[in-house]
Amino acid sequence: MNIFIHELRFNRKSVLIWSFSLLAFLVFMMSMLPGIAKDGKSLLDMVKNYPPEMMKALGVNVTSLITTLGFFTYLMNYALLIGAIQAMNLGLSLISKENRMKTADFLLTKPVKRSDVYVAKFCSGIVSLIFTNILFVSMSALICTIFKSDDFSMKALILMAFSLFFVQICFYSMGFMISTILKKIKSVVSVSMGIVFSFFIVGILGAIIGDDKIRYISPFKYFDYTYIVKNEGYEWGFLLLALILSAAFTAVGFVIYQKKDIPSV
Amino acid sequence: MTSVIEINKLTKMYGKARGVEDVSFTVEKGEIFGFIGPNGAGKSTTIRTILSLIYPTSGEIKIFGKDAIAESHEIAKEIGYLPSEVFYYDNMKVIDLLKYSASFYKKDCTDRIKQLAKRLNLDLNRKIDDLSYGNKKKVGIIQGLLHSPKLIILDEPTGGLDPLMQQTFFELLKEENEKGATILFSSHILSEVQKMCDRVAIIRDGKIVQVEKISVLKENNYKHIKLETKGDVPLDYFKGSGVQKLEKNHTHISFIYKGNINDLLSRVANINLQNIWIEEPSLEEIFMHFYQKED
Amino acid sequence: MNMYLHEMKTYRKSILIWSVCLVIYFLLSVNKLNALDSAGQDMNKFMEGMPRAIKAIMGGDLDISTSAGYYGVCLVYVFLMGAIHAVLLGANIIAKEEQEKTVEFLMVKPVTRTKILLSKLSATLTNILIFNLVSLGVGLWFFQKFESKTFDTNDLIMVHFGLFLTQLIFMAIGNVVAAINQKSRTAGSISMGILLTTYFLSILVALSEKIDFLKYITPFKYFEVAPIVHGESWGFEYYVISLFIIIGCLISTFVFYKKRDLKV
Repeated sequence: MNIFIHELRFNRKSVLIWSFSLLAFLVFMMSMLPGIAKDGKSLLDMVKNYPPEMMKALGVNVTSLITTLGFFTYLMNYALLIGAIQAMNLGLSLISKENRMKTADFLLTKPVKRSDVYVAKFCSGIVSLIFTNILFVSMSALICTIFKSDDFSMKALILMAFSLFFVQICFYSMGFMISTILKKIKSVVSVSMGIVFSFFIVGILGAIIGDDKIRYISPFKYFDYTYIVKNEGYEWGFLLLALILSAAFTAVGFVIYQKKDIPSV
Repeated sequence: MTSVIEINKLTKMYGKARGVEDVSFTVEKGEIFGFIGPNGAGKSTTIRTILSLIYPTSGEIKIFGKDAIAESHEIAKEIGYLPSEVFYYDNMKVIDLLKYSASFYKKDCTDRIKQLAKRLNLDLNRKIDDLSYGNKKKVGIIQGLLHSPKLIILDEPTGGLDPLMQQTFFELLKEENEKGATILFSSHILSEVQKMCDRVAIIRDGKIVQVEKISVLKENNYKHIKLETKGDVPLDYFKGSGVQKLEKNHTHISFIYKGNINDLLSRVANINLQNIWIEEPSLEEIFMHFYQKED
Repeated sequence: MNMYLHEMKTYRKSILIWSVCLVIYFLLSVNKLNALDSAGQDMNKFMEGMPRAIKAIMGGDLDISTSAGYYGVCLVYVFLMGAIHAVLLGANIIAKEEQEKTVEFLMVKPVTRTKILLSKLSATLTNILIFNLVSLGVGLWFFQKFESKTFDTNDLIMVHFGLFLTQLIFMAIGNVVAAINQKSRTAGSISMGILLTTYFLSILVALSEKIDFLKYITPFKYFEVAPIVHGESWGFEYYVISLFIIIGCLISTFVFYKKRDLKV
């Protein structure tokens, strides 16, 4: 419990900064919706003549572009990116910072099992992510209601916003596993940026190329917002995939951490 | 006597590189056990395996009769560890770190922290980042002793402490020892070991060379002999079994002797002497023998 | 020279990884171009009439049905990658000595801090040049392969020059953050924060005319691909601002680094 609380306290500043950056982005983007909607209504007819490749590239349903949910879809693409970076940073740093700050000896000579250290750290990160998501989902509902351009399904909106959580869990557990594998991470930001942007760009390329298989590779594409808007539900297959992947990453990291030699200072 | 640490045929390889090989020794309850060897001999590797920070390739370690790997968290309740270099979390005050440290041992350690800090002359309200090396070391000492451990493990602990602080530190250790704590003290500084320890294990190139009582090492085996002769005596005169480090400087001859003292005296009796000194050799001189590689 | 070589060696693996990523990225994205160019539908005029917010949501000013437009869209992410590369490199190359506690080792050697910085900057610059040469090389190959009619080699080189300038700006920002920031550990995060903030700012600027003036404070808006693809050029003011930022940041880097209390 003490490790759990120590980690929460240690990370609170960064969690707050990330959460509020995400909110600031949300507010700024949504505040533009009324203006865009006004401009855009007359263009809807023209938009229908666009080539299909372009529509795919954008990952949005064009006819709903200027609707509240359509615009929120556009926003979510970037919210996921921000969220993924936060989650990856957190996942990578929780274990690896002990090596970087050379406190691993301090912690691991205390009367705690390594498994407890792992679980406590993992849970503290999850709690941080839950905090971010509660804030994000509730503020999304509020802010979309304020700036809405048309009536929308609150259920679909909340489902979309909440997909952030699952994407974050994927990246978080991936980061956790990677930090147990690598001997030493000199710069968490560099590793994190590299991994997250690779997946982000792969996801975009998948959309441009129109190859459905790429959807399975990039967690950014596990949640198809067009589908969510239409069906007011997740694609269970992909939700399951996200959860199974996260569980697998966590389990592999757990096993590796038990057997790992702690590098000396 | 019951043994606190039992190491049996411990081997640790880093890939193909040697860590330690076939290390075995026992530390008895209540003793101060020295662990001595040159840099890179495997002192830290052994200690880190005892603490289960790294895992042995083969062999077995028992602490308080329990398996050091499987029950490490149980064992750790009674262990205090001070590493050779101390680094702590950013942005924490000394007292925060010590409280965090204490929170792992279900005991109230507040009084003990204050008492130790006073003893070591350390301000608890400073930020750790701003402390000097020596003061960080003090934080390390306190976090290692605050839960009154039954086994104290020290890995080259005195670096960075001034002589006065070293004195206080050694006093603290002696007090803990008198209260029943067992101490494993790793060092390459012989005078420290000589001052503190009951027994020592000497490690070189990853292997234990000898485990011996300090008193035995000093008394029974070696004499430092210096002679001043009146005439010239050929150096070869003293060559033979038991004589080491034979040196000659004009009429001065010196060597270290191990063996029957009567044999030596009968040989010395045949020389015309100006002066003679027979001394206990310092540990340094004894250990040089173990340190030097047998080429 | 020894320090320069040392830094080049340190970052050898990193620049190799970045280069491989660039090539893979181009290979993946080029795959689709064949199909696009044959569509041959020039929509530039159509795009011009659209409100900017819609254009931004649709992927910027670029018509991806042409090879030039498609290349531009692909390059948007190369700009982002390049900026990340430059800002992290710029910050880490200075901050790492304190992070890895090697600063004492280095500072007691008979070299001035100015010389240390100069060596580090030249190494950074070399790395950025390699990054640019790789991307330009792949770009040239891209166009040779597809014989684009809408984009000539000069435009291509110009676009890549924009990438280079953007990287220089971010490198200088990374440098100055590392030089001023007292905690070496956070230099990377702060530079990254600046980068992400300006990146998202550029998205916002694309969306709304009301905050158009903000385009001057986000380097992602200075050398965009779209104007070149449309046969225009970048505004002169952007060159001035860039020069100002780069020189300003570099001078501050030297001034602050020289006065800095180095912590271990």
